[in-house]
Amino acid sequence: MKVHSAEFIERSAEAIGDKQLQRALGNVRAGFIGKRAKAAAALPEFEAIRDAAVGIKNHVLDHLDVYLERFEANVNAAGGHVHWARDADEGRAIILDICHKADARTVTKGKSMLTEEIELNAHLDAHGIEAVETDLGEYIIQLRGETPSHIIAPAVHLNRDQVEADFRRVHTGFDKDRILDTPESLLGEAREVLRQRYFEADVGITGANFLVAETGSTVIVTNEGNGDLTQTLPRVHIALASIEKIVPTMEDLSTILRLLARSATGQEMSVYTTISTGPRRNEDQDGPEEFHVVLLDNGRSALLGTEFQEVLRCIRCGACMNHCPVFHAVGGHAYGAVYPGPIGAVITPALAGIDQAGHLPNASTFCGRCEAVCPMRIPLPKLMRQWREKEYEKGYQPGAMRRGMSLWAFAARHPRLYRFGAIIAARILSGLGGTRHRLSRLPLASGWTDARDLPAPEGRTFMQAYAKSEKAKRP
Amino acid sequence: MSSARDIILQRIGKAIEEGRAPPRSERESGAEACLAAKENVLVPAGANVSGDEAIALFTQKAQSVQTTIRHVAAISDVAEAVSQYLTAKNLPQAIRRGSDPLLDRAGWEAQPLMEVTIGPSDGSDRVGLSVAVSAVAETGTLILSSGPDNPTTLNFLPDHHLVVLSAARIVGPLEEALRATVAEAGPAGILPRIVNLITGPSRSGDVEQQIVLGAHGPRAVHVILIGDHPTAV
Ligand code: SF4
Repeated sequence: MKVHSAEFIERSAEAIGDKQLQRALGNVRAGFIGKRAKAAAALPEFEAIRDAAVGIKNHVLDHLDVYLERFEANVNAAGGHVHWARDADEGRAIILDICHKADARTVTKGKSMLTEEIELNAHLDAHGIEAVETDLGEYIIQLRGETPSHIIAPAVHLNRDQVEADFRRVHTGFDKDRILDTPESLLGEAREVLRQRYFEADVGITGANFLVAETGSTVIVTNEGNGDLTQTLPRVHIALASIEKIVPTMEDLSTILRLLARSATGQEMSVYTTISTGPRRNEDQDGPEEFHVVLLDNGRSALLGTEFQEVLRCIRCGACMNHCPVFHAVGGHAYGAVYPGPIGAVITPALAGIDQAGHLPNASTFCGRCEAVCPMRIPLPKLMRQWREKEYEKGYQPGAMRRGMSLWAFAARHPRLYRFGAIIAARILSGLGGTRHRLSRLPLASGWTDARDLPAPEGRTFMQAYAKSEKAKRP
Repeated sequence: MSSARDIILQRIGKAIEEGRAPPRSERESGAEACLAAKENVLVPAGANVSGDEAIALFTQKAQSVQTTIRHVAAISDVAEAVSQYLTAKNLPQAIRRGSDPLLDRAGWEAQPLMEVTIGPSDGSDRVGLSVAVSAVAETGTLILSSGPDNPTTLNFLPDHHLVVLSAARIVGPLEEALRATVAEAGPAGILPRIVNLITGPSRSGDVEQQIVLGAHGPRAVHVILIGDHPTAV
């Protein structure tokens, strides 16, 4: 996994100055927070269900080897195949091998963060196999050569005019004068283009939100239906899943499903929850002839039994980033890692190494909102703090601080940039200070705030206040 | 061949034992007990409904996710309801359906102008007709199982998905429907290739987080509900 987290500070400064991005990020705040709050409030047992779900996942993690073996046996019994991959290299090799055996030239893909984690598309491409993303957001960023900026809303950093420009550039077969300025028209065009691709594909690759041990089933949860076409129309279906996705029974699945959509999008249930077991049966008239499940470890087993085990309860709902003031300010790409936001800050050092991502855990104000909304009650701030302690022990901090200082020095030599950065920082810090106007944690400057609160800026810089008072003096 | 497998399982076993987890023999019995119990973890009180109440809740929840519902008295009324839907939507009188024997009794003979084809969809059909195995009142969710009777492509490729549902098959909570699906899978317990839980027509919020109906799946989901009218909606 390539990680560019070292440049977090530089990227953040860029992100804060990017007007398009800032406009798009407004949709995160406006969209997700209220919807989740409403959905949670409408279910009286929501908190109790969170506790129950935590119990289920803790039980699974304590019995993980036994459940994986059971899952494997049940996949085999249904006529499917299970492959085990210790790391990204093995995962890519297994999938490529299946594609080669299927003589695949094109594969369609349902949305899968895990395929991003193992950089599958580039690998397939290097071996002459075209991978086509079919989730609308993933399709858009694939056209742009970008990576997802959010785990459930990959194109949340874009505005519709940017998408329109991309479609006009790439979809050359359409009337040049067509109107393409609404989400409806953009979706309609993508639907038309992708329809053909599903039929052309030799292999369909999806992720899995859950693996059900008692039946050997993989489960995907989507709204668009692209994952279903991806895994129904080609001759071969590959589901890539990480080892911690296990739930024991359908009852456990039901419980966690009550949390997933509510926490993610504020829906009570996503449109499609699809339970797949084995390949098509002899008498079936559609569906894939082969069903492969690739179980990926990639650093997860190393977290079991450690102080970071709790992060393996994550169901990738995205609520932690939807509620994170740092994410709101800088977006997902600034993190420079596959998983952004609070969950990314905790999981990236585990997957990529603390030397690569050691100061992502600093990309937090420790306001605690992520933990408050995390359906699986993962203590994200505590885990970030634990990484910081490790980082400190290993002596990586000075490097991060050096980079921070060099950014400051660069900005200081460019007064306009410095002033702009200061304006933004003052606004963010003012927002974070809340009504108390105190900051108990200052991002990237915990040395200051560990022992005392910093008065939050009033939202304007000295230069702005100065300019305003000068203006006021003029007749 | 199985070396990666064994190494991962060893890593896991070792890691959990170094943590606070029980030894292997207890892990086996612990997992076994959980799998055998199939215990309802926590069913919300609001989902614990049956009979008329379940029909009413299903109707309300399904409509809230833009599924439309038409009540008919018997299976023999289905063809007429289909024809009226097509007329209302300005669609040609043509549908594709699976070979589900229930649909043989839908009253097609009274609709001589309707073209009814049987089998999986190749993407050229405007309207697909399926039979749901059950439905979940709690969330307005339809449950459809794959098989020759109800090919999965019918659920996703046509623009309009019409689903026949017997009111008696509506249950309150999700776990009840899923447990019944597993029970119906027979003694070997192998589920159909696909069990679809469908909650409304397909949609996407990927452009500026505005929800638009009709993403890659159907633009409309229409339930033809056979049996008792709900007493209150
Ligand atoms: S850490 Fe919690 S809130 Fe964040 S994605 Fe995972 S489950 Fe959701």
